[in-house]
Amino acid sequence: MISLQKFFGKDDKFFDLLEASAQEARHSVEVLTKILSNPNQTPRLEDFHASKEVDKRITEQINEAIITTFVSQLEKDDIEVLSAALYKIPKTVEKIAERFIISAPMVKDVNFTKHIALLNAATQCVVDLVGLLRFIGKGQLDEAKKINGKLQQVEAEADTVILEILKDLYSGKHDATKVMAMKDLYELLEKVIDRCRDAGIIVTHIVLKNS
Amino acid sequence: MISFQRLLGREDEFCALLEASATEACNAVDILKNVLKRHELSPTLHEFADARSKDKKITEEISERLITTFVTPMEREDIEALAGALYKVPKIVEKFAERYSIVADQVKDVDFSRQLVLMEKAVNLVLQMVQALRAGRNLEGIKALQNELQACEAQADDVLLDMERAFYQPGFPALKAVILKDLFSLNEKVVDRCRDAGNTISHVLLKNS
Repeated sequence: MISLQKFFGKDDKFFDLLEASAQEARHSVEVLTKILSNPNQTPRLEDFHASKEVDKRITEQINEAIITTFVSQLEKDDIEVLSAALYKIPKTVEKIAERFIISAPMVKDVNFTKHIALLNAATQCVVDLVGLLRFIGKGQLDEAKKINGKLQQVEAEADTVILEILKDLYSGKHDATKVMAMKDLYELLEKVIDRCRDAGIIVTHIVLKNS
Repeated sequence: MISFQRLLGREDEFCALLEASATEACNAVDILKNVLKRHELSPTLHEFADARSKDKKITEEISERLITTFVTPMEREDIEALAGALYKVPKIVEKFAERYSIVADQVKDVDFSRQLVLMEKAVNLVLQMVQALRAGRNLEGIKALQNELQACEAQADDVLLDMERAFYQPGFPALKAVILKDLFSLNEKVVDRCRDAGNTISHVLLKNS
């Protein structure tokens, strides 16, 4: 059966825009992981702000295109929900940078290796999943489920990591102010991975709907 | 009047799944009640994980059925929103249990009974609302249950404020305040999630009445 939606929506710009948004989210996480690898250095907030602003502009372009485009291969509601979910990633990353700066004296000796690995894995999954949308309807469901499964696993690992960290923070070995600052920071790091998970669920749902 | 949407939309199948999801939320709170009543210092978390994962499977089944079913008894978005709201209840209960398990020793003198009563009441009200939805969309009955749920949520806010009052008294140990603030706000969130589910049910019913 010929789908007119698919036929007219072939050269969809939405795929480019959504991929650009996912890349921007990944870029912001790359900047963040550089800082986390070297917590002695105070980050420049502008780097994060620039990334978030780029993503914001992409999201605005998507929203404009939703209004002005007559036919798209993807449902407009789905595009809107996904672009909003993607935008939340660099937005949360910027928030982490802000907190990182104000709690700099307390984080200088902290080892963020586990978080760096999880953040990299989560954002890579998001980029891969968004890349599948371009080939929607061409048997991508299994691949989408596979990547989404990996993303869910990353998210579960992040939950375990934060629980271990909180156990240590609540043990009484640390000063209460440090506990408060670190808890805040770690919860934001976990939130970035949650945001990636949310975006992954949305993409999988779109692929399932169009399979 | 016969509604073809309800007749063809396998209303009972979707409602049964939603009811199963709400029942799982009640189970999660029941498990928590037992843990807190016994003041377990190292509660096993697998029971909470089981309840949550059962609910997750139900939510996934609802999502898949929504895609594969041609006519649905209510709008797809509404069923999806309700399933999502119900799933959040055992999820947040599990989160509380995880946090509690790492500090059980430090909070063994804390009484959670006021929050427990409200959490239990809230999940049961949600279950009753879902059952009422299945039984025949009685607007008045569901509205009354929703009002009760809203009142329960307001009480949970008051309890939280009351319990937090102690943290701001001079001499209260700072670390314990941080730990308890975390736990109490998760308790309150359970009731909030129930309130959200209740609001979604009322909204769906109003739209379809």
